[in-house]
Amino acid sequence: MKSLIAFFQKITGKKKAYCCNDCLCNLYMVLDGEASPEQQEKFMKHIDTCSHCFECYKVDRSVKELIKYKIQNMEVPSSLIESIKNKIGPGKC
Amino acid sequence: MPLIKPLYNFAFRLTFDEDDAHDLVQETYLKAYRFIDSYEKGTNAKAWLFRILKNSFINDYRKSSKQPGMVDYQEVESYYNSDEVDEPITSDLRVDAFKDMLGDEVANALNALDVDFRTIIILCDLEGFTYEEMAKILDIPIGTVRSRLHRARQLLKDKLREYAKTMGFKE
Ligand SMILES: [Zn+2]
Repeated sequence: MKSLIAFFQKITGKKKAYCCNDCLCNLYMVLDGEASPEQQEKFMKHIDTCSHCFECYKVDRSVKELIKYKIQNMEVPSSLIESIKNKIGPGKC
Repeated sequence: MPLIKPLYNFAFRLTFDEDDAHDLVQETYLKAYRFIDSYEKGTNAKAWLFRILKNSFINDYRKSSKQPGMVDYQEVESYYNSDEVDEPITSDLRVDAFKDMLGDEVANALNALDVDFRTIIILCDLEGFTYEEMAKILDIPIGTVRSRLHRARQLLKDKLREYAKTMGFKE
């Protein structure tokens, strides 16, 4: 499979982001906490030996962390809370 | 109202307008209150509210103003499933380039994405919803959640790469 991809890259000059589609799906499943323990273990084992997927994993993980930790939340205007409370009625939300 | 903060932020990141975000969140709460019976006990209340907000946004805001932001999913999905995907090469983006990136720059990269791609990143990475919850919020199959997320992340990395470049980082 790997050599086929390499061959494909050679003839087209294109490079795939991951060594195989399986890795790509598992990468996001692992990253998003959706992978089964078996999938997780398989992927972690794979990136031990595949430096390409390991790099991809590091990048995608840090992009996810960027979004999670660097984007600042807006302050909710107090007028909004007041207005909702007034419309629904006190003590009901 | 512990959920108002994520709801307001979601609304603002959809509309980029404080007044619109205000109205959208208010409407969400009023609808939730009116249709409280449709909430299934034991399910994620935050996901339920996000779904109401998303539907209000589509019905009231998107229809009128942001048509060009629509994405042809048929096209995206066939792109994803094709063997001849010419993907941007992920590993040329260096992790070091991110370390000094500011929140504003990250937000700009996110804001530059089409609304559907922006939405899925917010739901997944910012709010931490599961694939199943996102499928419910967006009324799409889980397979579409995954392919949309995949595409959104590729586009986001493209944007971040552009920012990193303008900041003078080597690729
Ligand atoms: Zn690999």
